[in-house]
Amino acid sequence: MPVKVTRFVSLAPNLTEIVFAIGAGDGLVGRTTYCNYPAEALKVEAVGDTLKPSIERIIALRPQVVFVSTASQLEAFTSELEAHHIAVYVTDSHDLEGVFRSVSKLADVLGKRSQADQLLKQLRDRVAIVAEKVKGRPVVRVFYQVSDEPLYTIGRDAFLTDLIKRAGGVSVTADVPGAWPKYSAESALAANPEAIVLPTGGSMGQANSNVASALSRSPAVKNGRVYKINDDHLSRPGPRSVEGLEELARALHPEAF
Amino acid sequence: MLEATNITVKYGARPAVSGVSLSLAPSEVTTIIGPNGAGKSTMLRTLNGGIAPAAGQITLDGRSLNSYSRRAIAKRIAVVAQEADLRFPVTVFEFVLGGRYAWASSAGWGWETSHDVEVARQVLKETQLEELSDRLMTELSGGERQRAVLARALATEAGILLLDEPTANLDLAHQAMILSLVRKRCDSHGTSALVVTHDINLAAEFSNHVLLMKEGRSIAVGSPDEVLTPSLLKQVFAVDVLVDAHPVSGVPRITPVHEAFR
Amino acid sequence: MVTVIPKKTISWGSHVTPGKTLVICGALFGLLLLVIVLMSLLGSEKLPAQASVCALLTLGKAGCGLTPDQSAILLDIRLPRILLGAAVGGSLAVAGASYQSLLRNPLAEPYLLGISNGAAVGTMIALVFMGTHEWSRPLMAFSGALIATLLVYRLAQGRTGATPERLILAGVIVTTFLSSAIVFVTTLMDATRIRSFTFWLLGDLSGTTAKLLWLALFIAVAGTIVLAAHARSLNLLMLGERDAFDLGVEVSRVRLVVFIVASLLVGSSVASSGSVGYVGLVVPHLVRLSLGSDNRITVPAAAICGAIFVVVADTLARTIIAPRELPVGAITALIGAPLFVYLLRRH
Repeated sequence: MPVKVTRFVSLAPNLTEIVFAIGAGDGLVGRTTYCNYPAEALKVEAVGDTLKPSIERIIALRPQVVFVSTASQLEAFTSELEAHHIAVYVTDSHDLEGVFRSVSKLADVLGKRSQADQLLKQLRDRVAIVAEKVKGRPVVRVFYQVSDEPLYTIGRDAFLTDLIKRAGGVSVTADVPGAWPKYSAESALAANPEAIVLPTGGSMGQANSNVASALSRSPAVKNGRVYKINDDHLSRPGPRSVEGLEELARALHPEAF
Repeated sequence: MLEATNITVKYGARPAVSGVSLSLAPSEVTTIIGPNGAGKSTMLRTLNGGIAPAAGQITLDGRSLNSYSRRAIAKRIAVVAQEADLRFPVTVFEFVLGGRYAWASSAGWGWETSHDVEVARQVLKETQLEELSDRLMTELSGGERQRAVLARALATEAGILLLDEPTANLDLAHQAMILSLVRKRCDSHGTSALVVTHDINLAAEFSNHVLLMKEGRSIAVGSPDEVLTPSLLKQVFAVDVLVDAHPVSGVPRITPVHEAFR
Repeated sequence: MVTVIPKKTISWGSHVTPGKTLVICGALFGLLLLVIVLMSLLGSEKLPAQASVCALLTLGKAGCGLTPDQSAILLDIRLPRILLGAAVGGSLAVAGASYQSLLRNPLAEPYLLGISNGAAVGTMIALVFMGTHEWSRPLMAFSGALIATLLVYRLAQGRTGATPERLILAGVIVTTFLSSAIVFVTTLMDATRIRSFTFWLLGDLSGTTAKLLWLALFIAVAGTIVLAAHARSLNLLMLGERDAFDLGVEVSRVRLVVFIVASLLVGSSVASSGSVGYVGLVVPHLVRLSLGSDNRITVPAAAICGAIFVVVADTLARTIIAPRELPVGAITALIGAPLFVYLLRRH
């Protein structure tokens, strides 16, 4: 890792958000087409999408580091980048604490320690408020629907499982191995969740705005407890995840807010 | 009775057959002889509707060939070509039974009737394939397979047989066998046969009429004696030949005479 | 060209008759029904066996002792999925058997010929650009399959017509081209959809509406009947187009019917469940090995055996890592690919 990092590329929307949140946006020279927040990010040059970014473009930008959100994305071209003396830095968060740790680590690399500490204090305060409000309340059984057809949900390794727990709920699929399992319709039906979360809107547009048919007779649907929350607040492990946490908590325990 | 008048077939601009006429009468075997590229097989293929002539007319039993449906033609004209493309397992019996297709009652599902089965068995007897009828076609020798192809054609009970080089790649015994089977059929059932062949002596032996073709044209038509003369054969094949009478049958016997041996 | 001529396992006597066909197909159909009942008892949620069988046989009308949830799982989730699997398996197997007869190649398959990729591109275009209209998917799938068929046919036309060899070559070209088209359409989708699409491209029987299921079943049955009606013509075509013509088959007409019906079968399968591979290759092969090549028996038998194959494969797909699921195409490939290699090796 070079001593002072002034030019870097982010290959994940959540990392782009973290970079700007700690005030390091000036050094960002490349982003993916999905990195659309904050607005300043749009001025940065795009190098492709998250799955297959253009290695040539990245190399042409002469960054010192490329930030990646999961190792699995990049096995293919890590060696090529390293051959051009570009370091690859991987972050991977399985829970909210892990997200905060990524913020710290990124801050260390980019020399933004004090800004990060300030940001993290604010975020932790908000998290504490939510924890206080939902303490002692009956835990709500939640089904988090990633997509309706085919039916995908969150598993043990997804950081959203932790987020739901902190919001005073429990994911009915918390024990399922993996992060984004394709789920059996009959198990979803048998789970009879009390609430259903539909991450939709934001960058996702209209997709996933309907409850999967297997859940159409669940208590959640019968009691009108189907909550559409901006996907960008939920699927990007970064500062806005706390917004997502607050929205989840408000949905699951409206009486506390 | 099949009559072809003034048939012309073109492949692009090039005429493969120009103005050839022939007629096939019951109980008669006609052979077409000529060098490669003479248009013999092409001519044969026009006779059952396989190739549409650019000019000329074909009539079957007095009506134009075009007025018949595919099935109707198949019941009256059968083709014996080089052996079939055998990529799937099929027994000799099933293969020969396939010849009954045109006689099926309805469009597709038509199962074979007991009459169909009977005809197939008869034909297998006639071609001496009875003992092989449960074997797979691929297990047979070349000669036996060709007999099966002939059997299938005979199973159609067609009055007209068109045979395209039926003796190519066959050993001597089978060559004679195939043609004598055809001859017998013509004699017993009144069938007409048209045989395209390279073998001039077999043609002499078995045919009533010979059509000599070269470069798509008809050079001569007539009995073997009339057509198989040294001058005509030299004109068509550019080879000197000696023609005498076969010691046993009396039919013309053609022997090429090569430069080196003169 | 590979020449695969296995011996017949069952000896018929002289030939296939209606009686023999009915007996064999009747027995196979009984087996299919049994498989359907048995597979309905398996899934990521445990159901009481006896009560379930009772509910299946009475379609939930009589009180069999299942809770409403269990009844919903059995009759609203499992049974439709199993029936879809049967429809897809039957359709693909029959389409495969017909292509093999028509093209005189035991290796001909909807995938090799690019037909399923055509259907996939059509379906994907419908999903990306016409999302809301329910009928857009099967319609675009048929169109895609038909267009792919036309492309293959045009490419394969030579002076002597579209010989089987040229058809296979053209099919490989079209398949490759359409695969790139699929990748291209994928880039038009957002990242969140790509995961679900990759799954669907490998075969997924989990998402379908009642209307699409009825359509798939109807097409599977109607398509099988039409192709079985042409079975005798296919028998002759299998031995050579010229020979078939000489024996009275209307070759162009039969070829057209088979191509259109097979495209419909493949299109309906792909529209409802993505690409389920190897069914059209392995099932007809095994059927021919045991019952011979007469299409009058292999076409209906392939339909039933294809149905059984996919129903069993899908049951594995939805139970092996329960409550998670695998794409059924992965299972059919796992079973089909080694089986195929073994079949090739026999010769």
